[in-house]
Amino acid sequence: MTSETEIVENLNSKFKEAIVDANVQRKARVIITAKKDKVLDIASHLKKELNFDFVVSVCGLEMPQEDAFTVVYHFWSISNKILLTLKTKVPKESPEMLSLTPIFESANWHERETHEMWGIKFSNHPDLSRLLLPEDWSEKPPQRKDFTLPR
Amino acid sequence: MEFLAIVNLIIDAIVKILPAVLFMIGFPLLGVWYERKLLARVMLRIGPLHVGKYAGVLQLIADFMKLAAKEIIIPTKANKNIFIAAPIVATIVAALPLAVIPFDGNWVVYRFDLNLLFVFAMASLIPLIILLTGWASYNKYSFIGGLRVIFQMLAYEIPLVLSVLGVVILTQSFDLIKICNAQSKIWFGLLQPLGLLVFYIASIAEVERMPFDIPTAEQELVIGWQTEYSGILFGLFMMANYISFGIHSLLITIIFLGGWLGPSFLPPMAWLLLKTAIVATLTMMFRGTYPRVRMDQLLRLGWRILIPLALINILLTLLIPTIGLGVVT
Amino acid sequence: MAVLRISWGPQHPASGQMRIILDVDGDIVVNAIPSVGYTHRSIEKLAEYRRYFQIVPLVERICNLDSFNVTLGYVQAVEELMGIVPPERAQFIRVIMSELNRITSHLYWLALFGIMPGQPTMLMWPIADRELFLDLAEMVTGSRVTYSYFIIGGVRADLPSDFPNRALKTLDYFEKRLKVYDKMLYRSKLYEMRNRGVGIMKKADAINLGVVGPNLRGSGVKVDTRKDEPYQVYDRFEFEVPTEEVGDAEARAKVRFHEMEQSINIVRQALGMLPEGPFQVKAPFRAPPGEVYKKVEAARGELGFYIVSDGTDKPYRLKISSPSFRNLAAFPFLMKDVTMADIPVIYFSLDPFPLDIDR
Repeated sequence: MTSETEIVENLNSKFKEAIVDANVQRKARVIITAKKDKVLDIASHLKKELNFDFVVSVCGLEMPQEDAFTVVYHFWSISNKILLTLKTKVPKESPEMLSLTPIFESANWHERETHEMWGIKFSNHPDLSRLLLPEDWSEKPPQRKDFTLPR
Repeated sequence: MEFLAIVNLIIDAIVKILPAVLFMIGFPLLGVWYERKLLARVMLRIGPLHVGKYAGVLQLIADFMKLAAKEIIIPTKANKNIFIAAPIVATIVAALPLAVIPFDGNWVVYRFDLNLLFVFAMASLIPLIILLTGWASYNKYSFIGGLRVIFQMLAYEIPLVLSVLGVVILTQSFDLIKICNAQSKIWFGLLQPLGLLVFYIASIAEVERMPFDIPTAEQELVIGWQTEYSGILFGLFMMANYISFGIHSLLITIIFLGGWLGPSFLPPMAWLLLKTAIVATLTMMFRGTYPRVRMDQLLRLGWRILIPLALINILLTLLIPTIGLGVVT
Repeated sequence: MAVLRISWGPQHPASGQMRIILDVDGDIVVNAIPSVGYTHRSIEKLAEYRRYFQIVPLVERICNLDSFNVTLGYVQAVEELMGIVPPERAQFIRVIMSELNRITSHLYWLALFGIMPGQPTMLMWPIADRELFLDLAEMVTGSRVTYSYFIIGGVRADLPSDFPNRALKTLDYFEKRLKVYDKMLYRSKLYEMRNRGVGIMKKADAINLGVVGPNLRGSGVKVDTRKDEPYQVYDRFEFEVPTEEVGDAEARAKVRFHEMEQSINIVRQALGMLPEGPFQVKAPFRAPPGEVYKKVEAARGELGFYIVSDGTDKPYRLKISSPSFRNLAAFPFLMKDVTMADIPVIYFSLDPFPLDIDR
């Protein structure tokens, strides 16, 4: 049973340069912000060493006044009962990053939805086709802030 | 004088065919209503209630009129001739055995020595019609339904015929009248319990009732081979289904349960219809109690369990003498 | 024989509002690809245009049968963001209604699960018994489904005075009915033939695929948000989390059945412990900036709400992690090399709700 602070210390010591920010928000909630190219290594470390079992959700986020999208991964550990949030930034002009599906099979369908809604490309993903939007959707990805709904 | 003789002849003919025709029309109408009310009570519902003064008896007539008034939709690419001809042919073929089945010791439309064989011959034509229907509808679901029917009916016709052979050996004839009259001392159902069991299960599978109604598996195949049918053609298929159900129940009663024999306070035909009604009720109760079996489990049951049981039945009949019971005529 | 591509499609008596593309070879399914999105209503995007208290009816529509559990998830996430704590009586009422809703949702599942192998009686009985629970809900909230009863800060109105009596009577009657269902469904030999050994998911596969709820518990993994992260007053009750080891359709069905029994248990305990007091607390319009992830155990599994707030009265981002979407990963995995007759059985043993998947 690792505690939240132990997880933060472990990650900080193992991935010194890649982790931009790591803190414990409250009991059972750890939030990590990391650089995009190291996310795959961090995920593999989470699965093998720190007992995180599956991906709970993947979503996109567009913080105001930034030139990047934030991709937010949530992981859950059954044995430790801790939820870890992993955030990483991808630039808006070429939003792409490596997919976590080879390590976490449960990220498959979530990444597909995030790709569809935000336009973020996940390389090495088995199948990034249409999921929720209609087949003839040709406008920009809808959950971005510059796609406004008609009032 | 001749005119009166001709009128006599006509009245005789009408009286002769009356039970068969009434059965053919009455059993689907009454049977469906009865089944709906029975199943409704099992399922904590009420069933048809409003049409007709008491308990919705005329519901079936209303349903039939509705079906008759609907538009007949034929898919463009379907084979029109087979599509329209199939329900009509199916109803005729399903109802033909009524021409030779006796309703009483003497009351039969056409007296024929091999009437049991005739019934089985007609029963084996039906799968062919259904296969053609499934193919002619030009629909994937219907096609799969038609194929499933062939598998199912092939597997169950063999035990159906084999299980009756025990009775045939004892009475040494294929004649239903002789078989029924031979049960005056003891019913064949008690002498041949294995035969009765196998015949009953095989007949439920032959008429596609629960738990063996895989070809019309509504939850998977949208009613299977009848998917494209609407209106009066669908009504005819339903009629054909219930007529064969009625005929199989009649057969069970005549062959195994003493047919029209019974104490004399009721006419023999009334005994026949009463026993048929009890057998039909039992079969209808299965619909409310059991889920459907899967195709491979169905085929396993037919080929690996029922056929050996039927063969064991024949073996036992040959080995155990029953002459002392006064059965052989 | 050539491979036939069948669309077990939206126009089908047994598929719900989604589509599974099956590649069938004879009677064996070679491949199954779910195709969803028929009921996508962009709830997450719409939520960015509405105030926090206006979103409760919006979020409810992701599962209108299971409305209490879903709105509870959203409402308690916002309460954590705003830092308010609802009064005790409200928390007890929330737990009672959520557990009754779990029973309702499981009865609906039981009805569909019964008719899939072709047993119409098992369709009619649970739906008839569900009516009693809908009457209870109507007594409290005024509607049968989609209640919109929980609000930020408590519940909308208090329980009627004769609610505890009526609820206890209904539960006593329902316990007897559960025994009848047990005999009809779980002990029937034909049901065993259809459900035993069908759609087996081993423990490692279930964790890997990320399935949730009774599907995960049916494969031997004891994960239940009510015990892992107790919310509202769940930590005051004694109840078990039913788990089965085998991981086939029968195991998942048994888990849901026992969950219904446990729900009866919890409601009885809660009705006995119900305190007096206020049922609402005033909630502010605006939420302080920050983010929160809060999850509940809905009837179909674990439902998570991720809310990012920028200090205004509308959420900046609302992400819903719904159970049926996470269970979707199990479809292509389980529906390989099975006969076509097994497809409805596997499908309904996973209990997908297409509205959940699409949001």
